[in-house]
Amino acid sequence: MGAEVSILALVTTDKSRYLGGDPLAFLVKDEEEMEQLTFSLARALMADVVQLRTGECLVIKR
Amino acid sequence: MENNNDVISPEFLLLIITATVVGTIVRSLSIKQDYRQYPNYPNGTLIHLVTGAIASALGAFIIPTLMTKNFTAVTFLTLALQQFREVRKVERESLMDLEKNEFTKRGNTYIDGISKTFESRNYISLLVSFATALTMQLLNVYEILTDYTFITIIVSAAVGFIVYFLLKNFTKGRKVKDIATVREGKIEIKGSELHVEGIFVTNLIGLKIGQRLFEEEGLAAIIEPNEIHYRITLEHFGQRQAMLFESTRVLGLKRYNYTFQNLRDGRIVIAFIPIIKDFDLFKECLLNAPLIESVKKSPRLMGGTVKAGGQQ
Repeated sequence: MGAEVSILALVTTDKSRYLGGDPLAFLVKDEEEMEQLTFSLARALMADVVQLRTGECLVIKR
Repeated sequence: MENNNDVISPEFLLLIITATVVGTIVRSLSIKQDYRQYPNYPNGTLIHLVTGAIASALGAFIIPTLMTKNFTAVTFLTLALQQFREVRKVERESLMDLEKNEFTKRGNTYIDGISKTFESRNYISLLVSFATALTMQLLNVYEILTDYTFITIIVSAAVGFIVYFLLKNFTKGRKVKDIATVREGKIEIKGSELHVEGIFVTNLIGLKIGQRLFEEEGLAAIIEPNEIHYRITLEHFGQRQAMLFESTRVLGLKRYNYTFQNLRDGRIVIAFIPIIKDFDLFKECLLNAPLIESVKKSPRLMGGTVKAGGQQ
């Protein structure tokens, strides 16, 4: 398929998942704030959001 | 080149004009105006008409150059070949340039198919006008109908059109509706995953607003191949991209577009959020989407019977 995917940001409520690294990472209080933040990020970066089964959100651009 | 300064004889002039006109008419017939609306009207069409006219002029010149013993002039045929390849290259380049700005990509496979078609249409023009000129010349040489110029023109034009229909039949492309059926798929959102009829399509719609949009306005189609060996064609990424492209060209695209194949049974899902939500139109687009030449495989030429993977 050859589609290039890049992870632009990680949004999580769990501090133990917040380890730093290449993608920008955000620590948020709750689901509400996560929804708001990912929405703004996705809009600004014209990217998609994927919610992982473990609860974190990734902002992905392809 | 002893003939270079002579004035061209009226017979040859008539022959060249007839053959060129027939070739140009053939080119204009082969520019299809259908829902794909490609080449664009009016400028794209004009470009192809003019290159077609030049192609047919080249075809028309072959006979007179041979008859006047200008054998070196036949080398201009290599020039013709160059010109047609240029047509293909230009077509490809301009479509490649558009890729970034379309709703979805055409994909390289589709672009290759389109530009090849344009090249071959020019050859058709050339061959038709050559056939027309040849008929006229033969009628002259064997002194059939020599007194009836008008009838000679009609007869040779008829031969030209017969050649056109033969070639058209030969180069005829098939459509998705020849090998598959299309029906509407039910969109289900499970968390951030999109499923259509139980087939996983994507998990990229994590935003609540996107999920709502997909539930309210999304369109999804399921494409099922009629025979097992058609899966090879339909599941090709280029072919799926072409189908998606033709649909979004007609219906527009708000956001999100996905194609996905179910590897187990060969169902293909195409889902996106259109500007105009009309499933019938969507179905029509998919059914009429062309099968790309480079993707097509003939099961007859593969030999043996084709079975699904895992079945013996």
